[in-house]
Amino acid sequence: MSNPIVRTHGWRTFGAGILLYALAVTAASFVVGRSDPGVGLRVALALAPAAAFLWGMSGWLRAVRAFDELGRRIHAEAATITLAVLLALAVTYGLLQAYVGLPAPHAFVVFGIGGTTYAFAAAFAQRRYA
Amino acid sequence: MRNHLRVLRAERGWSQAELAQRLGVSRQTVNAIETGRYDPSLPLAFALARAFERPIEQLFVPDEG
Repeated sequence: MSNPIVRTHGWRTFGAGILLYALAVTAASFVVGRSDPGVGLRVALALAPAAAFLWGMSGWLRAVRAFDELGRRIHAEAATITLAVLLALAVTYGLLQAYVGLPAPHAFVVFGIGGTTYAFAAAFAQRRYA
Repeated sequence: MRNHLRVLRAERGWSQAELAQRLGVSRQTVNAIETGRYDPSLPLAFALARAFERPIEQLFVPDEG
């Protein structure tokens, strides 16, 4: 059954996690760009943002679980569509990089495309049941 | 799956929002079930049966074939 309080808390955790992730990635690139840290620190700086991202995604999962059953289905369909689109784009762009030398995109582009695709996919799935 | 939810709800004078509140689901879910766009889970179907005080087979009718 639907639980709006848990849902709101989950969305807030998601937002905070993604914000923290963006800050951690920016800070890590700043440190690596301005100094010459050892391999151990470089690995730590590369891995640290993932913790924030996973924390944010745990909030997203809690929020989706707090929807009623139709809401969960809509978000599951949106997530499936988003995963399919991102995989298709990643593989296609990878092939284009290999074949015609397209430049590597910034990592944050993936989040922009993923977020936009998810928003459209959720609206599309919602219309099916309206 | 067809159902008689709209008729039963109208008999009681409940809005979709009222029924949704009784069931703890969204109004969109009630609307999707009534229009046959979404078949509810067993727990939700039983919750509907309890809300209308009817056996579940009086609420839902399987499609022929």
